[in-house]
Amino acid sequence: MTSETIREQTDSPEETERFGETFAKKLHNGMTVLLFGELGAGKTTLTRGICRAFGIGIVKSPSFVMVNIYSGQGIDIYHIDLYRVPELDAETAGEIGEYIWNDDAIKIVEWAENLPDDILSGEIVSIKIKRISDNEREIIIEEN
Amino acid sequence: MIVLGIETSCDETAVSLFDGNSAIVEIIYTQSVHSSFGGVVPELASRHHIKKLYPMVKSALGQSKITAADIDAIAVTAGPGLPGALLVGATFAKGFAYARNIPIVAVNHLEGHIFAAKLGCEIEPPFLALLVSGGHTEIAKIIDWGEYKTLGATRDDAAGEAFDKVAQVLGLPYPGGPEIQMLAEQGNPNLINFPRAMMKSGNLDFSFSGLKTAVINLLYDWGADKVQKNIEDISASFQEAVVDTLLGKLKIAVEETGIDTVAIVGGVAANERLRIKSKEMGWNVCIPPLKYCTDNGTMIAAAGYFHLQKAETTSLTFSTKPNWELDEI
Repeated sequence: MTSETIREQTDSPEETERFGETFAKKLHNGMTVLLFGELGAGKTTLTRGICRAFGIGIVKSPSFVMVNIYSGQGIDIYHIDLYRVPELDAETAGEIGEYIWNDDAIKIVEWAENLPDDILSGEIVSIKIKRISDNEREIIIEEN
Repeated sequence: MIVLGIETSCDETAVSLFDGNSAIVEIIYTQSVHSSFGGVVPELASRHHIKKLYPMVKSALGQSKITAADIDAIAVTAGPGLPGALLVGATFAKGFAYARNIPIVAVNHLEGHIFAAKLGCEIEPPFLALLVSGGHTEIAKIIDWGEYKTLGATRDDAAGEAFDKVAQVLGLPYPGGPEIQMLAEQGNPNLINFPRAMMKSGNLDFSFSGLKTAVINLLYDWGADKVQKNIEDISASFQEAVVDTLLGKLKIAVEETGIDTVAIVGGVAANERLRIKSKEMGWNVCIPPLKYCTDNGTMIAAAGYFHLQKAETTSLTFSTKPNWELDEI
């Protein structure tokens, strides 16, 4: 197994979104993108960029409903948000697993630290967004 | 006609026996278990709905001296909401409807909030509805009861979500709305000029993500001590930015549609500052009583009753729709 780490810096939310749009070229059906970063880091912004690359215009925070499903150009994206689930029990994990295990979509998971490791399978990319200043972010990508 | 209304889309378990005009008896149970987690925990929500729903229906029947056989129809929230939580209410309602052989109506939660206006005020379409809660922020045109057009919605976070997340950043308990409102009463709403996003966007969409980030940035710039010392002013300034944004967009909608009757519904309509400032706008403003702003069973029963009058019932095989939008009714 090869592992590659990429580091990028963005200077504004717009640039974070554009970065997501460029990064989306590496994604294909079945892959799971895990997003890590504190409140306001730009997880939803980056997701919006990824979705834009697939022609999906409206990307909202799924914090309330846990999962938003978008249909883009030839691809479905499951936008999962575990903000409200700091302690995921077996039952909810199973519910989330139904989305994660689906190979016919790209899965993007916000607050991925709340996701139990044993749920993951297939190709996974981890993205950490770190705050440098009010507008600057460091984006660290690990591909496995 | 007696309609049993059931609402379990998020953290309120609510039932109501509704006679077509008003509630005969209504019971709401709010799950306090969530405050220690900083938000609604979906699985906990489902488990509590399962535990609470049946005893609550029994209790409603007991209080009203109505028997199960007197119930003519059942209305239940089918979405939008948390998938597991919706399933509990829908499954119970299907079982009840099947056993009693009575019609069922799968109600859209947002339409329920619109009917809350009818419960609280003398209001008739056409009017505009500003729907603001933890999961939703949108302006809809109510062309007629049952006929809606979404004019604008949030592009990122809901207004109530902004309250909850900012409260978390400020170290306040969940839910954030009441906490921030309480602190804001002692604060200066003009101390910090937080962004009012998209006011010149040329559409009726909202964005609250940038406002949330502005409060986070303030925490970094000022440090935790200074933020705690000025928490009343920060709360007041943040709340003012949310209220200004909501009413600013509603004002554009009023001007564009020429409709100046507006209903403000959903959990954030409980906010005192929003209530006061909306009434200074010169519109006919309807804000339902507090008990009909937050999630409740009576608004679901009222929406269900309307559809029953038009013979619009739902098949027992319906599925819940966690992302069901108002325009898809």
